[in-house]
Amino acid sequence: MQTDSSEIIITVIAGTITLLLLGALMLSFLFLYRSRHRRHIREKEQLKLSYERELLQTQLEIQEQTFRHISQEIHDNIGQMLSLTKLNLATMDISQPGTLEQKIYDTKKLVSQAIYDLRNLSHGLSTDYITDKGLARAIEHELEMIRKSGDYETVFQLEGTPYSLDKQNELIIYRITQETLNNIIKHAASQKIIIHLRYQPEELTLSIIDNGKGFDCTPLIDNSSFGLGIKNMHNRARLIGADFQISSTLEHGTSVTLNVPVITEAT
Amino acid sequence: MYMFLLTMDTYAELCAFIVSALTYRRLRGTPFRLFPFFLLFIVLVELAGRYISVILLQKNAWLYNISTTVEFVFYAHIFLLTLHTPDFKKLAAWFMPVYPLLVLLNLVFIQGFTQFHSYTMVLGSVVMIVLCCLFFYELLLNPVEEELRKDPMFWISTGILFFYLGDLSYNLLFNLVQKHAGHMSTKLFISINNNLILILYSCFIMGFLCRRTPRRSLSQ
Repeated sequence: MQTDSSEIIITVIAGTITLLLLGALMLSFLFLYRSRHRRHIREKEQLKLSYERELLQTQLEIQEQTFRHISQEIHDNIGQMLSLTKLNLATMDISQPGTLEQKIYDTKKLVSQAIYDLRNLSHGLSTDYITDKGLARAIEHELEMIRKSGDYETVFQLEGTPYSLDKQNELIIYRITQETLNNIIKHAASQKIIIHLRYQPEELTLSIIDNGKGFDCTPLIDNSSFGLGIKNMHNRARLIGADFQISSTLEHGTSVTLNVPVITEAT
Repeated sequence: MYMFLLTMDTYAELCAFIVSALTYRRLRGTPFRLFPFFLLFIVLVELAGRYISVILLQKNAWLYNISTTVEFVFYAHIFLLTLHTPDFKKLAAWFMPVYPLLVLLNLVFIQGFTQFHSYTMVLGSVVMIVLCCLFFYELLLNPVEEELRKDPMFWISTGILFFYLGDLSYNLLFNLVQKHAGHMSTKLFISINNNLILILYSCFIMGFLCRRTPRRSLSQ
């Protein structure tokens, strides 16, 4: 009888303790889950914030590059043409009808060219140009500007039918292209630049190849030390989920490849 | 005179009542507005129960049969007001009228009015545990940014969950304990129940105190 009662009491106490532990376990799980969830939300917000910051920075850089380009164009090209126009107008002599006619013709031609160049410049004034004309056209335009400088031979290869990506992603790809072209102009000492843009249903591949002096890629492979520009390009590519690769051979040139996965939006 | 030698659990109930009365202004307009009245009822039942057993030397099970039924219905009412999922609310809404009927049927046909209604007590405890789990499940599904520590219903549910989980095994084996453990059963019940009451009402107090006064806008 005594054993019976002890057993029952032990059973009750053990049952009570077990059930209370179960309750504690349940609450611990709730706290753990919520804390993980909150951390996840915080990380997501942080990522979104950094994406927006990077995007803003990208827009500013594109703008800055555009202004630099415009200022250079106005100074070197349009300014020169207008100066010539002014010179023509200043040296016009009514008493010499033969040369006057030629000068009027030349002046008209110069003004027309200046208007044409100005129109071309205005195209690239805003980042909306990428949205309006598409990424492929914007990159081609960028390459065309470099070709016009006369220092480079440029080739633009387009494969597949161009489609639109997310506007922000296109901006980032465009900025990476600009940065790569800047690097080629500043450091590569090349004569030829090839841009290959390949539109595939699941991926967009952008390759920028130059035949310049190349560089030692070891610091890039080690991930130990590379310039801020390349670091930025890496980070930006990562932000849009793209794969960014640089390969270079000394005296043979450099190739930059960007693989952007295409996420089809449900309609 | 003995009547006023109250135990810790009665003090806990009394404290919970006092805190709920003092914070009533904050509880008004919330699902917890009836708590002060409910806790006053619990304190009165506790005092009456003690008076009946200590002074009148009578059985007081009938009183606790009533009070525990009221407790279950009250908690179900709180869950009805705080749960969001319609099916979960339905469970609480059904339980409120059906449970007193089941208790009545149990007392009339099975356990009798002078016995503690352990069968329906187990049923009520299980439903309360389920309602608490459903509340926590909703918290998992909609993890709002607000900290759990500042949610009164979290504290109230925690108290209810631990109280009924802790009481469950005793109530499940109530008849067996009464039969085989005899005098030990009362001691066992008191030691388990009193500690659980302390947890329950401490959680209630935490719930009343953590409740923040709604901010008033400048235009008001």
